[in-house]
Amino acid sequence: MRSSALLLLFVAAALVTGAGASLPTLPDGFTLPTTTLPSSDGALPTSVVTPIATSPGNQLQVVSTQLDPQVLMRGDRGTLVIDVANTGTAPVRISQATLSADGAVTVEDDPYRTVGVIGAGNRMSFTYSVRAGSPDGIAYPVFSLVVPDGRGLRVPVPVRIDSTGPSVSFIERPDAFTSGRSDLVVLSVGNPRQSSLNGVMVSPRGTGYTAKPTSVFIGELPQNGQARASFNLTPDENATLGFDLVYFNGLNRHVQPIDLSIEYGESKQRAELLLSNFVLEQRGGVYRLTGDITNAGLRSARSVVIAPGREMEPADPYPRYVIGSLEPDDFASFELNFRAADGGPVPLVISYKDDNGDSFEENARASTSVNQTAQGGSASPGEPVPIAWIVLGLVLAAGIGYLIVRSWRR
Amino acid sequence: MSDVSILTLLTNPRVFFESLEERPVSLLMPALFVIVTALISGVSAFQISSIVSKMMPELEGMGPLLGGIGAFSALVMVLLMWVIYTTIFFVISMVFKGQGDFGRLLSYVGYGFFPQAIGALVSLALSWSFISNLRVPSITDPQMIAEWTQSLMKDPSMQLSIAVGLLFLLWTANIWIFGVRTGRKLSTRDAVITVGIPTLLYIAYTIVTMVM
Repeated sequence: MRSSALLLLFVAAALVTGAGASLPTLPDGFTLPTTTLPSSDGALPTSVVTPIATSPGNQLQVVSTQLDPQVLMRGDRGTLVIDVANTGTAPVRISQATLSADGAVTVEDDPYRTVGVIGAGNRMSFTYSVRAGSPDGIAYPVFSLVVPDGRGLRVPVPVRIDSTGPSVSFIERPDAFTSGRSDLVVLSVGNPRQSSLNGVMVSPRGTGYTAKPTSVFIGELPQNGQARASFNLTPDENATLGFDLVYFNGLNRHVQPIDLSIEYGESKQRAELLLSNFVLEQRGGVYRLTGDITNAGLRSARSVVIAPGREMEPADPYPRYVIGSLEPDDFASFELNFRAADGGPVPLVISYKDDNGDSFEENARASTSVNQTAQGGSASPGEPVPIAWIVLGLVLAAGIGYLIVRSWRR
Repeated sequence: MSDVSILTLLTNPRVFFESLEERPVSLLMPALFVIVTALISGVSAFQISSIVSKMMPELEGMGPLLGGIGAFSALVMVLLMWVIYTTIFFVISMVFKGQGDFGRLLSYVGYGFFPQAIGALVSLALSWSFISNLRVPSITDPQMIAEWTQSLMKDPSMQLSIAVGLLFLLWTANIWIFGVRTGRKLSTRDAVITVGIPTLLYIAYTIVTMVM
């Protein structure tokens, strides 16, 4: 009696759920086209159901696939999410879902050995971890759904592999490094890939150098985007220097080394200070040297100061002469006072700074000797006062003294 | 009252001021001397201030403006100094129970600016000769500007110019002694102290600045 009642209930239930419809009859290997159904959010958890249009005769369809990151690099791991919808009017029982490796793409897990029922008008997401190998190109791992009656779904899912890294070029770098001097190096980092890169950072690497800043964080570099990183590098004598470009493609960290060859020497664009037009005079044991200084280089010279060499004893009023800034092709006059014991060319010391504040010192010799003196002309700074002025001062002192004394006599 | 020429002020200031005692106070002539001194000092200040614009490239083209500001400042300063000197002499002479009003003393101190005007003219000629031959470097660093300015003050021409200014200040002080003596009815000793203290302090300050 009890078993009869159960049998009746089972038959009734089968009649109600069947409602005249039959289970899917798709042959093996039949591929359904991907439809553009709304809300194919890759973040949807499995078994989240969004109402979709249904009609009799339709069955399971792959409605969207999503790969994160969108394009894999060799060795990258990615997450492939496949959304399947039941566009029919009857529920479908899925016994197993599998993703088969193809070409350069391997599938790292198989989490859907049992699936369950996907109701009519519902969707289900299947997430797989895939790994890219070589060569680059497009691989088509096959996504299969197995239903108990042997009819299922087989869909090749395209996965793109492109190992092209960011493009790096030096926008600015010195033609030659000088040990102990800082030079500006500017890198341009471009993203020629068809997907964005994250966490992009450039850091100097090597030994025997100081860098400012120690690293430059660029962050996200969009598709076809470009960013710059500037460094002030001060290498020592035997420095090895390069850069590491670190970036993330999805969750995959990549490091791209960038070599920077160091050639030591004097920069071709440096400031080049030349002295000329020397005139040397001697008054009362003090020499007065005048001349011109010209910047024949291609860079500015800052805080230019000229002083007599160590062999000379500086004297007032111009023991040193401050020129200031000298732009390329610019010149300025200078004047120095000093005492010298012996004859010979006058040694001079020129000190200046570059735009980075690094100090330079050059030794030069005036192409005139201390015994080649000329007699002075009119009054000019640093020159002894002309006799006429001294006489005038004495006359004034005498006259004023006389008038003061006279005013007290009467 | 006997008329005395302005030359008497230079040759015999005692007689000059005693003759003025019989007259009412007049500031016309003293003010003229002070203004002439102020104008000459203004021209000197214009020269010095213009150098700054040559020195600093970013001030290029502002030479006349800077010179004008310097000249105006010097002009106002000389006029103020007239009042300040008179006030100092008036206050110090109060210690010696000096008599006589401030206006008359102001007038007598103003007469003392006559030698100052001559001295300013000579100093102007000296500094003109110096500055016109000056090589002005292009400097932006304030420390270097200060260094360069200090080297200028040690130049013999500049030192001679300052020495001439002090010489004429001594002459002026001599005239002020007789002016204060007469205007505040002091003894000669008290007048010397009244004028001598501030004058010597100023001269000492100038010399120290020049030497350091």
